[in-house]
Amino acid sequence: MISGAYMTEKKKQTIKTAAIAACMAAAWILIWPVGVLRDTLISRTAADYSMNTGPVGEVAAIQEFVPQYDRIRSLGIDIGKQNGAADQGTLYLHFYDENLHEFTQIPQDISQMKDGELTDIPVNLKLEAGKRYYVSVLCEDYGEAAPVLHYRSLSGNGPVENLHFYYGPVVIEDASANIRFTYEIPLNPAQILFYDSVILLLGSAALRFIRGGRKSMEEDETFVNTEDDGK
Amino acid sequence: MTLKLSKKQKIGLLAALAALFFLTYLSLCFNDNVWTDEAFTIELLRSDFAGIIQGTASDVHPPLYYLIAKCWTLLFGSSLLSLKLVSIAPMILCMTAGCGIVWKRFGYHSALLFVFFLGVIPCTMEYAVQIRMYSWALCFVTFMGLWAYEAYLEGKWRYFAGVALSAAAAAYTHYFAFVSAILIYGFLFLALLWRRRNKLGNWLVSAAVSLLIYVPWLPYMKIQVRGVSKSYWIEEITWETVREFFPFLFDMGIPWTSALWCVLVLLCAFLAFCRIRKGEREEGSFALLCLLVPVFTAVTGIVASSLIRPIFIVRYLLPCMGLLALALCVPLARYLKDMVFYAMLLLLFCTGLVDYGQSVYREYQWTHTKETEEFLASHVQEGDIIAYNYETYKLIYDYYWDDTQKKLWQDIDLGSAPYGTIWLLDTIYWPTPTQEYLEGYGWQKEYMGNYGIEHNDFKIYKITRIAPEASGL
Repeated sequence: MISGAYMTEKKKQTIKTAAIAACMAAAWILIWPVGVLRDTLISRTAADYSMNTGPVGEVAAIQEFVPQYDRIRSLGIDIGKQNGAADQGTLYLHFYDENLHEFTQIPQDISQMKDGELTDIPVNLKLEAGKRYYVSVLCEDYGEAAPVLHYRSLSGNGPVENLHFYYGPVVIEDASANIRFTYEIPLNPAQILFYDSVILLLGSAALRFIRGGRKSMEEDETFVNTEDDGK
Repeated sequence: MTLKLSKKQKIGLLAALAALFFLTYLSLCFNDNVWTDEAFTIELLRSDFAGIIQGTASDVHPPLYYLIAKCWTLLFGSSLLSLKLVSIAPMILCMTAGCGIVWKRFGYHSALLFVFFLGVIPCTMEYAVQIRMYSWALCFVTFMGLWAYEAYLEGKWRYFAGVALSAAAAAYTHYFAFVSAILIYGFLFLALLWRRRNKLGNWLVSAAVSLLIYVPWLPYMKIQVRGVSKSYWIEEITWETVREFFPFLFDMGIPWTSALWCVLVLLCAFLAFCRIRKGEREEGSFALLCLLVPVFTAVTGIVASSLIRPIFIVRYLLPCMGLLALALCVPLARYLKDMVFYAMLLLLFCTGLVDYGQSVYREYQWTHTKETEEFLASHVQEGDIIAYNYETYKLIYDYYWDDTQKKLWQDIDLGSAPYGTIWLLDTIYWPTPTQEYLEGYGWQKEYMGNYGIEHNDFKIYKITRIAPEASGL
């Protein structure tokens, strides 16, 4: 006869197994199709000489751009600090849609930015790939001097996102702000499989654990010999 | 759930896995793209053996890899593919002969995991196809570790001889492989002192033989150390640098992968402790010591960098990656069974897929080399010259064009230049000639586009003579 205690134990184990299986299924769904984890992709530019705009204190530098993907994680901005004179205040990235409606602004402490190099500013924007947007760079509370923005020749350099570049209302011909777009993109099938197999490993280890696998671990073998192993 | 396999089938599975990695590596070899250090190797291999010794003595690495590569080129030619195969060979040697030792000593599960780990630790795939010494150093250090363990357990002379030879080979291949070899010798000494004192004599002879083999290189090493102490290109090691070690070794380009690998390494260290506590002292200690070799190699590099000058970068840990694979496979094979083991194999396979995707991007899509080669091949004609204005990259350009095809822009006298067209690779490291400047000599330029080789971008300008009627001459 099967005892009641055994049945209870069996029932408990079934519940635990079901709970682990449910957690694994949930985790798999979160990886795909929900997509909680995403890959990153950085827009590509070529190295070239940089030029300076005027100070972006009273006058904004504006870059027109068309994102290649829907989610921008960060925007790399390259400013010049005018020999250290422009190292305080806040730099704002103002984002406008194609109808010039501002939909967000991101502040960045200037003292935390690199001088003459790209500083990645987290923006976490959800945009529409292929549509036109504008990002305006303008500083506030900058004290003695405002930083300048670095730009380069657009032709051949990219990034492909950039269209016209303005300093104030004036278009600078063949210019492209030295900007780096970092996108969040969906995982590819191999990457999804990788995370799914991590979940499978953790789940199967948990199942093994609750089934009392520790006791039998030392006896069993996954690959059993059908002949002498030669050991 | 068990899978019944005969010994032949097991061998077949391991061989298939090694073959799969070989084909994977091979598929990464057709990009015709070299970076500075690879260009240095290619240049050095144009010398004879004496020239190689002299050339490497005036550089910063020991000579064995270059000598092996030279022998290889004498047999199989010096094409880029042939040179990349030199680097693939030791990885496959580890996955076959090394794996055989692991199977014999630790069982089939360990052997299977060893091959997988060696192939999929994220940093190894890139360096397995580089025309550099890292895969050979990895091979020598891994074999030294395996033979040191055999020497400890069996005490036979042949294993001590293996330790001596592999240690000397490692030391002749890379100085931080030398550091790892010293550490392995140190651990072997401590283990023998603790449990097998009667074998300390063998250890002493083995160490003496290694040293004796290395004596001829010591004067060169002294010169190199002196040179490096004065100036070297490596930047100061900070906490940030140390933190960056982990992404270099383990990052797969997607979130949390470095962290997952670190957790796996810590878990294996814990499991190795468990093996020691369960009375499997030897296996557990071996796994832990395999893990400590890369850790102490890094510590040695960091301490030496702070005492002398920065001389250590994370890629100098690559020779220890075979030991890391051992440190992972030995404890895991003991505790992962049935479904969990299969899940681990599946995870390693998927890791390999992601690594491969990253490697394909790095080897084939990261640079503009192919477009540049195609552009110049279709445009440059007889009597033309390729001019470059970034002198430091001459080493790399030498791989693509010989000195009759290219010239430093700064050395070209436009007044008497005999060329039909000058194809200028214009980097930001030298001023671009203006139209006025060129017109002064009767030339004009036309922008052809943005290109690049390796990670050096440039614009290509087509510089031609102004027709007499156009210039009014």
